[in-house]
Amino acid sequence: MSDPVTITLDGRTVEAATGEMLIAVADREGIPIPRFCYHPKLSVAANCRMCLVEVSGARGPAPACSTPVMDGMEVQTRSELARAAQRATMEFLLINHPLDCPICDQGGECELQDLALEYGSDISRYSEARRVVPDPDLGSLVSTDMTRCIHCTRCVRFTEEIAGDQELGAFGRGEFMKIGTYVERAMNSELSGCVIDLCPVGALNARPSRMSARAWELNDHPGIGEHDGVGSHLSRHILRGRQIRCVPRSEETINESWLSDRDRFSYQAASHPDRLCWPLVRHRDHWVRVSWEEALGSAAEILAESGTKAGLIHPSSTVEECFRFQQLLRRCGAETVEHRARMSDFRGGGQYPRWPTLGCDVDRIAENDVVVLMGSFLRHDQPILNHRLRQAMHSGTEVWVINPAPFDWNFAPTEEVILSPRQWLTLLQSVERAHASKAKEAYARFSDRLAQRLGEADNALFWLGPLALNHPDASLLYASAHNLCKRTGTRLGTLPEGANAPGAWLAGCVAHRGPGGKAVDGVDLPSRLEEPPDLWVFYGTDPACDVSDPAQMRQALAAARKTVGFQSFVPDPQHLPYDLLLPVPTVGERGGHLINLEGRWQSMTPAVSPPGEVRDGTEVLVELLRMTGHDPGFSGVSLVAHCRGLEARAVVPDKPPKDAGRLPEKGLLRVGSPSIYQQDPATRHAHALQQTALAQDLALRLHPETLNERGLKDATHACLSQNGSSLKLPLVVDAQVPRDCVYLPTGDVRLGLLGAAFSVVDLHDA
Amino acid sequence: MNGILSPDLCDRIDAWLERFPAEHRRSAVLGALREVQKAYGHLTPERMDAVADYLGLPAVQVYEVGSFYTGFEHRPVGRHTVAVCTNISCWLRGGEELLAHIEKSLGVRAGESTQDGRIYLKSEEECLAGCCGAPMMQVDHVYHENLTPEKADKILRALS
Repeated sequence: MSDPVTITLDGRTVEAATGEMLIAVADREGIPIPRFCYHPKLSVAANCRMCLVEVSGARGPAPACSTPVMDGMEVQTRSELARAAQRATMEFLLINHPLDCPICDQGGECELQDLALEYGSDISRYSEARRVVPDPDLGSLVSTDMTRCIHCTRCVRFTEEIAGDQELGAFGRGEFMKIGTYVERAMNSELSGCVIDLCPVGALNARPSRMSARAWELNDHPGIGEHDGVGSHLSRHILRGRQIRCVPRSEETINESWLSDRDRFSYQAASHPDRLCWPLVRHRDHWVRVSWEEALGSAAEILAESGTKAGLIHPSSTVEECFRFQQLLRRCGAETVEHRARMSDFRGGGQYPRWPTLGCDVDRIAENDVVVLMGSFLRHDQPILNHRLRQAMHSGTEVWVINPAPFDWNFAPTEEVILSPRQWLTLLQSVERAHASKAKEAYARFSDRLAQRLGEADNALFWLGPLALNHPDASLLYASAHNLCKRTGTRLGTLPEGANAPGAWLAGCVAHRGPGGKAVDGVDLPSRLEEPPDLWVFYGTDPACDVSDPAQMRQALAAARKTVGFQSFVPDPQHLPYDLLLPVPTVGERGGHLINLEGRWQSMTPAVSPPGEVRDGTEVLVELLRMTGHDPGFSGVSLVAHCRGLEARAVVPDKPPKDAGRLPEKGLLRVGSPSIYQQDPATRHAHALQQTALAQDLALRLHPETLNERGLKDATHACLSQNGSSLKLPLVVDAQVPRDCVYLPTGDVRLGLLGAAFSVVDLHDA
Repeated sequence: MNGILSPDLCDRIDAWLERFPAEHRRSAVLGALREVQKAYGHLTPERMDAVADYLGLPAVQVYEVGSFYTGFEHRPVGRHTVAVCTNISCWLRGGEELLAHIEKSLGVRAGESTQDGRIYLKSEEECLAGCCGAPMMQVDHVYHENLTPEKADKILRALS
């Protein structure tokens, strides 16, 4: 924006920047102009014509959304001419719009309804036939009532400009124009729910909450996204103590006005039929309901009686939960307290910083010249970060990707190299070598080019995603990336799973680190799995899906004397040998603090009371501390103050490991990380999310030659065997997948006891 | 390219691409769809998908163009496309009667194709800018003006 200009808006003298649109200036000045198609985050379409205003000297009314300001311009938004134009537009829009507001989900929060009240006529002059439009099936998340559509095309522009994969379009023309997918198919975007918020009428609505409440009956409860590392701001809408739906709350520095589908629809988990509502104890192969008194007594007894103990907590648990969990377990003598259940390499723990960070604020990603992403399908791991990275890319940031399989990006990475995880360490080392070497003529290889770019860039960022963090040589990858970053002046960030991984580190849910990163004696998770403890305690972590190796975990559970779970969902008693289950709140029911990957503390309070006899997990942990004869020390408020104090004190020495690589050198390597809706127990219990193709599709992706070598040419299915367990799966042939790898997402209950990712597997005829 | 776009078709689409700056591949959608329709007679979602693939665009953007213009057909139609103008100038000079006559002599209604697959009579045609020669019709992009029912019959009979 260059020189400011002065315009007159409804008689008021106003400063504006050259090139700004009238509607943006009016919005800033608080002068209301009606609109449907205009949205500040989308391109200007100027097709609804609702924002017509009078501009002196112009031949007729002008659309405020597409009229740039000019010095000396005189604009009337409510003159006779402007009002007449706005009323006429409204009359046109209402010609085909059905009068079904009483049965429309949007009724009461509808932009068309609101504006019709002011600009609409009391009576329609139109008595001819009205159009009726068939409703396409867009999948389990978005419902359609396309007769109500006014063709503003906000949804179409959203899918093209923000979601990055144009799934919706406007087909036909004039009277016959329809919004849809043309060929019927479900929306596949991880941000698809945003079209619900954007739709100014009731054409696109939230399918899971369809017809279940009226807007004016709902209470709005501010909350924080509980599934990824950014902590999107959102509002939970509550009807008589039940979560009905979830919408984004605008936060420019995090999620802008968007929300991932995972954060939007995960509330459904709270009313899942498998919800754990009462304390349960196991009697052979079935559950028996017990009172809290009995359950706590039993828990305290188990804690007191057991010898060795290990506790796993989910990285989406709050800071308070994490702190109390490790406090209870460590006071009771546990040697292992961990939140990184999917990680397998715990060597060189001393090299990690006090907590994981992005290395960059979410709203400043675009300030980087280069972002390198190693081992992440960011669209699925961190949907909002992916959106930010995509926007950054469009403003000139280069995105370099190193992944074990090709991925359905919604932008074209500057360079993408698909590399077997066996070669990742070598790659990082050769980038470092290339940077150090003086001869820089031929940049033929990826590593040379990357070294050159990292060396040149003023602002560069290197992200290690979950596939790198859960790699069997994660510590070496980290050390190598750390060295490379140090030499090239690049900031290093990590993308761990969960909504509160930094909080779990800070509170001390790490094997060798107590609260604030203070070194403690501990036994790491792999050693614990080799030599199972007397007692396992799980808090939110599902030992069947949220661990690196479900098969090994199953054995370790069988070998333990007791297993206690603080869970929100009832597991199958035959598969998971819990002795005691204590019900704790899930999405929307929890209060406490989450620390996002920027290190930002965000607090949330319970939007609803949990069902049945579910009790706040922190309270239960405090009570157990008292019952086992330990002083909990702080009250709730001072606990937060204590943890914030820890933040300032934590200092960790830099000590990279020197061990050799641990990946098997030969054999077909199974690679994968959890797919988007398998990341935690809550999303696995959100019905509508589980019905999407993103959740349903489970297939082996592999190179055609990998199939040929095994005599499986043209096969559609194959059996994958690992550790004596095997599974028949559909095949997706992709010549980009490295020949020594087969990609299979993890975290899925359908995988059963297949064992760990990054292990050698066998593939044979189904 | 799953067999839909022959090398010859690709060449012709490339010729359209050359007319626009390299980064504006979307500009060639209209031309590409015309070439595909010329080759196959009508468009299908699969053919539009092939164009989208070839141009590197989301399929939806090709569907949008394909469904917008009445020049694109989405079902099998006759070999020759006949469009009779019934807009104001032609209407004043007997365009509607001409259309009624042609419907009768071909035995089809506007919007239908003859059973032998020879002629496709387009439904409503807006002004084709041949007012000075009204009434007129367009046969495969060729204008025939100052028509009488007899002249029209002769032209249509001559179509193979």
